[in-house]
Amino acid sequence: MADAVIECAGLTKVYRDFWLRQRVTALDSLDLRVESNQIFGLLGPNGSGKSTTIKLLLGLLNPTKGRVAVLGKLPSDVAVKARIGYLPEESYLHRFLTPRETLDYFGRLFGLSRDERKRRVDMLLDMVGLAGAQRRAVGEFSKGMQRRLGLATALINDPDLLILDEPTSGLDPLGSRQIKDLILNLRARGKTVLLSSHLLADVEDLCDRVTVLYGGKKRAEGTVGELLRVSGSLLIETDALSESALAKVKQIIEGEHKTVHRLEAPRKKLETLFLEIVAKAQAEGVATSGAKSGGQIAGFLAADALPAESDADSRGRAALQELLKSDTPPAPESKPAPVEPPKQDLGALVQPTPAPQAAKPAEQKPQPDRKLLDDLLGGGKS
Amino acid sequence: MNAGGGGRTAAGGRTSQLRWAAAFVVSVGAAFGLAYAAQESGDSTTRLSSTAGMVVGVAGAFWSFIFGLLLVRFVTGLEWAPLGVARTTIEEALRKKVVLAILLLLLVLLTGLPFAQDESTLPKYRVQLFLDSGLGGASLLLGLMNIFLACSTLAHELEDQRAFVTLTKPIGRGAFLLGKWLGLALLNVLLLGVIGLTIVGYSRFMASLPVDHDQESVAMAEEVLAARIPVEPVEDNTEKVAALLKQLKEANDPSLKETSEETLKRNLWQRVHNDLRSLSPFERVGFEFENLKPAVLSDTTQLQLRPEVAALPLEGVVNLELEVRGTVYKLALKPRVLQSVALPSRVIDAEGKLQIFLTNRLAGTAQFPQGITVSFSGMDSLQILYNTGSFEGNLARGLMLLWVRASFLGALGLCAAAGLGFPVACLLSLVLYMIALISGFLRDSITYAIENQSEDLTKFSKPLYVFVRDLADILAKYSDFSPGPALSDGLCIPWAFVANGFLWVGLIWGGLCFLLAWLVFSRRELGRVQV
Repeated sequence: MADAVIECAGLTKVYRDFWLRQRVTALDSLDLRVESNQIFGLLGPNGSGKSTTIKLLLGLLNPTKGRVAVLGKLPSDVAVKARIGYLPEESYLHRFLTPRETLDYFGRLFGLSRDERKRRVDMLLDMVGLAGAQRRAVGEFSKGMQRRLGLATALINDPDLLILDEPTSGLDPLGSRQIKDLILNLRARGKTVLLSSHLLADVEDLCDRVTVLYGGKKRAEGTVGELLRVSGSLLIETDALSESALAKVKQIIEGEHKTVHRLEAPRKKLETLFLEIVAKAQAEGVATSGAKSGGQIAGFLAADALPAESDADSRGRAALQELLKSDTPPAPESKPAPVEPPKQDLGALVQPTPAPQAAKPAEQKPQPDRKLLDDLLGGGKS
Repeated sequence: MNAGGGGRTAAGGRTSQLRWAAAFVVSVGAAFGLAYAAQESGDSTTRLSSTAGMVVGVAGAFWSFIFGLLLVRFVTGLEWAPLGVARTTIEEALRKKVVLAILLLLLVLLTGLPFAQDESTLPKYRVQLFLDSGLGGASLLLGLMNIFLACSTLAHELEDQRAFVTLTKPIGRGAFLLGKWLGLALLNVLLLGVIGLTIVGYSRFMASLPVDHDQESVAMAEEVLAARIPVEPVEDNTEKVAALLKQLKEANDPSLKETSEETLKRNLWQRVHNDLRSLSPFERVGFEFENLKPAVLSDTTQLQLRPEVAALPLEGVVNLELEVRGTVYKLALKPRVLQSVALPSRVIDAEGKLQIFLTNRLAGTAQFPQGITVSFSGMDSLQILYNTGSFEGNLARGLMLLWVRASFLGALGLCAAAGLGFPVACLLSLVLYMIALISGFLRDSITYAIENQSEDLTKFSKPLYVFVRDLADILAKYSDFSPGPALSDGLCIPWAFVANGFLWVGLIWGGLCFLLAWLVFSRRELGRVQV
């Protein structure tokens, strides 16, 4: 069994008011184990105890009962914090500092040398697309730009454990995609990521393992595949077929005494369309005063920054190679969600112009950052 | 993108540096130009001179602040996590409007005071008023600024949850608090440095202005811009008090029953003291001063006198004869006003002793035909003062005391904000500050009431008075170490006094505040449960 990076046993947090009267049980006997080199998702509706769990893991709250260990130490241990990166739900930054001053400040708290700080700050500002805004006060930033800076502050120490509370909140799809790529990259480097999100698609895309909380209690836990598996159903995705070929397929299926529930022309995801528009605008050199799309992953965070390849790395590398080969979404098991299949007329779906573009399935998926992947594989580093 | 961003940054940095350099050259050039024009005009009282003085002062204060800030930034740039917090605290402070308003007030106070005084006032008193008001005002403004900043920087960092990010980094809560305090302490060093330079500059400028009589310059140099040590006449009253007490006991005096022995002894001591310091009509009394060896090093020493003559109006003249080593000087002094007589230091003998004789030559009046008694019984009514160092060195020691007082208030504010929200912490700190300011006066008043009206106090009210006096005595450490009055009177602030101030206000009181802050803050849950 891999090492536990986070371990909670019977973790309970009861909120008391000024008169010490018990008001709310925010977390109730939570047992949690996050192993190293995992992307672990914390899911749950508002008030389910996700943020409370994170605050307990960071030592911002003290548990009422139970035990919690992060990287084998108590959360209050100052030394252990050197190995943690944290992106809170909101951007809690000094409004009067510039992004460069902000990152330099946090770099100093980690005891990084002046040269190392400068190197990392330059790379991180470039990575999160704030290099052009580095002399502006953070207070002037939009929520998304502050979020990008928050992410950079969480990464300044190249953490072993990254705790992300709603990481894509306030970000445009471009930023969201970048964060997802980054999370995958970190896992490829053997890092551990704890992710709390309302956006189920994010969790589904990224997480190896998920815990679902409700009312401060754990309701379900397992790998995404285990939790989402739908038995007795099969999805086939193929190039466009002629009407006669489609009839043959249907015939074969009916010959097996099975029913075709849904047959539809694939559509692009809105995220894909958005990313394409932005990429085109950038290629045309359209000016913007906001955050630029991020550059490549900061050198010190890139996979090839590691001196030697660990088991975890080789696993990550293999996963990424697989990702490139198959062009499937990056999540290990991305089965379709069990939604009610709409009944549609088969004939209408096989018209000559069923989709806006004759896109191949590979083009319909969010494109992995080619540069990032090249970097991770040690290839096309520019 | 990297190269583009870096290029823009470097270009932006260079433009900013050029802008600052141009501002420096223009402002310093304008200040020097005005000063030169004023000097050429040859009249120190013209509006041009005042304007030039003010402009030079403002430019000097501003640029010394800027260069000091660069130095502070360099120091806080050193590789130590609490210094990182300190630097952010300073940057935050300098962006707060309240702090800027306080800095502006300080600038107006220090650069405006020298020119806002009546020209008929003697130069010595003008400089004294400048020192007294300047240092008093600076101390008050710095105190308020420290309380506000300390409460604000910690309470707001917790309220808007910035501390969530900072304290999840590898910095302990004690180190975090230390960083906050260091930021305030360094800001105090910077501001007091600028205040010190401005005060020295203006004091010397005022002292260099032409005067009507040479004595005015001498008085300014020896009595204000000086660091003098006062020495009281030797007075051993113990035997006389014991003898008087014995007499009262033998006579079975009723006062023995009405008053406690301690109070009685104190009253008798005062009576003996008054007798020794009183000159009956035409009486010649000798006074001896000891421990004056260091005074031999300076050219002159001052004999300071404040004759108390109840029977004379303020405009009257007190005629005395002063005899020192066989030489007799005739003195015509003003009643109830502190005056100085310069004595050559050679009158002090090799053992550091000096004996003087005063003879009362006050003629009798119609009301008092037998003559009038002159007394020197009040505090500092009869002293020898000798110079022991430079005004600048003395001012530096005074500024150190101001620093420790201001930095203590920073620790007090942090202590309050470690457990309370901004408004409550700020209010509590301000109340304690005000109590500390008046506690010296409160202690002295209650002590006087206990000693002199103890018969009127009931058995219930007396313990209460004693409790309040002791409490005020504890808090009075703050007001006891105020350097303003000594500096404006040209009195030396000894290193031992400064060390005592650092021990009490800095180490004990400041340390207690910091310890309490750490105890509360390290146990405080920073996150809020939100469900």
